[in-house]
Amino acid sequence: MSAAPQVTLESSDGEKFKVDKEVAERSVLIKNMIEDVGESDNPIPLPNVNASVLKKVLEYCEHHRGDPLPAADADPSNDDNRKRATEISDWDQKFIQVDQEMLFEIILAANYMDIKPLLDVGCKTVANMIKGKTPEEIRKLFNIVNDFTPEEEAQIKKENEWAEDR
Amino acid sequence: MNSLTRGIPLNHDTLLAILSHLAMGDILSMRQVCRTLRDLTYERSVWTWHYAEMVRDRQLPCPTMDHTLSQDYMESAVRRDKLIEFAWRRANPKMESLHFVRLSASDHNWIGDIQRGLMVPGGKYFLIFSFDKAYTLSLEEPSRSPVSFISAQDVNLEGLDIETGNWNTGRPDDGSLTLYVAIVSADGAINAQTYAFWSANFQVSTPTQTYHGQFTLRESQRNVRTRNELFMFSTANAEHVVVFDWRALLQGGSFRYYAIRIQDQSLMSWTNDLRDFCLLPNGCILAIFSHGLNSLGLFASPEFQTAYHLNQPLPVECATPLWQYHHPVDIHICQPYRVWPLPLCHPHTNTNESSALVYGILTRCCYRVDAESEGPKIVGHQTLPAGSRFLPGRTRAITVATLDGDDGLHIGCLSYAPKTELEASSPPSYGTFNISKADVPGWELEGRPQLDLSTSQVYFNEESGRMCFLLMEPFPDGREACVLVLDFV
Repeated sequence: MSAAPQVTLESSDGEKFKVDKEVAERSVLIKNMIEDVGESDNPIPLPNVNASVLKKVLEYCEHHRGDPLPAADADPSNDDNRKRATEISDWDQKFIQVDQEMLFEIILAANYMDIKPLLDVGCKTVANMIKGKTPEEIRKLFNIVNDFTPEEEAQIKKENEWAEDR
Repeated sequence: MNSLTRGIPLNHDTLLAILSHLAMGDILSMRQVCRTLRDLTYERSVWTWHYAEMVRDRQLPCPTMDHTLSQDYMESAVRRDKLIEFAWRRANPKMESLHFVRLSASDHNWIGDIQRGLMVPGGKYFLIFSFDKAYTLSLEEPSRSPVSFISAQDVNLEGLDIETGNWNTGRPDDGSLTLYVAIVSADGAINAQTYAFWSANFQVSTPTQTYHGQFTLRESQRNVRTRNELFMFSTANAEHVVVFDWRALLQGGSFRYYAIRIQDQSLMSWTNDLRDFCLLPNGCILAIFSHGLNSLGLFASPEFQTAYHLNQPLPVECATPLWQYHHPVDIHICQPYRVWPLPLCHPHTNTNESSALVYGILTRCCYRVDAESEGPKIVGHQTLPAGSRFLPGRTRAITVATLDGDDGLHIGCLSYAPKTELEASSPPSYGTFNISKADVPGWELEGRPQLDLSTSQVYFNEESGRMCFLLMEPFPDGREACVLVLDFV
């Protein structure tokens, strides 16, 4: 039995990861790169992703290696699979239980490497953190500075108050 | 990495991705956090999904996602829709305002001739039909006098009565739309009626209209309906259903049509009574028969044919029903709540869906029927109070009955399309509340005859949550008419 074809990925901090091609190709970016340059033993550089994040991303890709790939040009407004918030599978939920810094890094990596399901998991997780919170609570949660003038804040509050359930 | 906010080390794309996963209320909260987030919430892509969801859930008959819609337009439509939804979800919908629009014969000599009204989708305008004319009444500016809008005289139908006016298509979600009005008038010959079509634009401060054309049908019709480009009716002999493309018909040349003979095949009956029919989204025809026994029948619609003139021979052969179902009650009104133009199905509509709402008038029961191929599935029913009038909308119906002693109104809201996240309870859910006469300023003014709402015509617009009662002759001499406007948001 011949071994599955493998590729090597190189993180921004120079660490090399040898993974099955099928796993690496969960990333549309990598899939396109392999298609463009053809099979090669040279490592594929990922200058925007450090080793600890890449390890985590590859863990996700490994687990989901057999999943059907999402349609490349699906209309976001016509995506029946897209359910807002809450609906994250058990494994994904455990996987994404990381600190905030890592969560954001995963989202950025998923966006850069074009792994839509992982981007969705990350975004849904953040959306769930935001859900039902007041603007002040959101600032606290993410350590955001309120840069509105008091007048601006009063105005925007007045225009956007939404007391009803969400 | 280009971080947009100090606290969240994400870039523009990923922040937008997060925003697009948020519920509307959360987007509005994010808008209030800081300037960067505020600006992002005004991006179009944040709202497209919410808008698409609303169009789908509300079954709005608008053609697809229009890529020209602005963020502002979509946001206000979504916000308005949510407000109305919340208003209706309360046990007692909040009645925001209630006012009379009084029309006095001293200003309008046609007052005594009022036949009926028509709530323009969106709820901003009310059309009043008086013999051979229609007038627009602005409900937002009730002090403005009704304006003459369309006239049978202008299209050589002078002196003929307007029998029905029908709104047809448009974009009702923003409180304004383009609509088509079908005017029926008897042209003197027995069994012949003329239909004239206008398109109207209610998105401007003074609504405008354009006349498109007319055609005369020799076959007498009942259950006439237009829906988008389809014009359909059952024949007076209660045997045939005819459907054709009226837009193409007005343009001359060829048009598509089909006719189908449908009969209740369960009885060896010499009489046939097709009470009502509706065209389901999957193209099938759901028919209600009544002659002692009552039944529902589902028929596959025939292929469209090309025709060049109206007088096509009607088929002699009866179509075979896909199934037939006997119902022990008098099913009287078959009200489609999902009727879509076949070739232009909304991308968010599952064309296999085939539900209809059926109302049994004797039992005062409302049923939702899912017309599946192996037979109807009756998905719950709701018994309504005695004397209820029934105003079906696309996703909810309103029932109106007068309180004992004519002391006010008993209003119910029946949700029968629990498609949204928020209306997740299984169908149908029914909430009721009362409005007593004391709530209505001007209801009982001294020196005025009592207004009897039980004899008024009632109109309901789903998108605006507005209800209108047209009291055509509150005064015996027909000197005055009024429109009572109720807002529920």
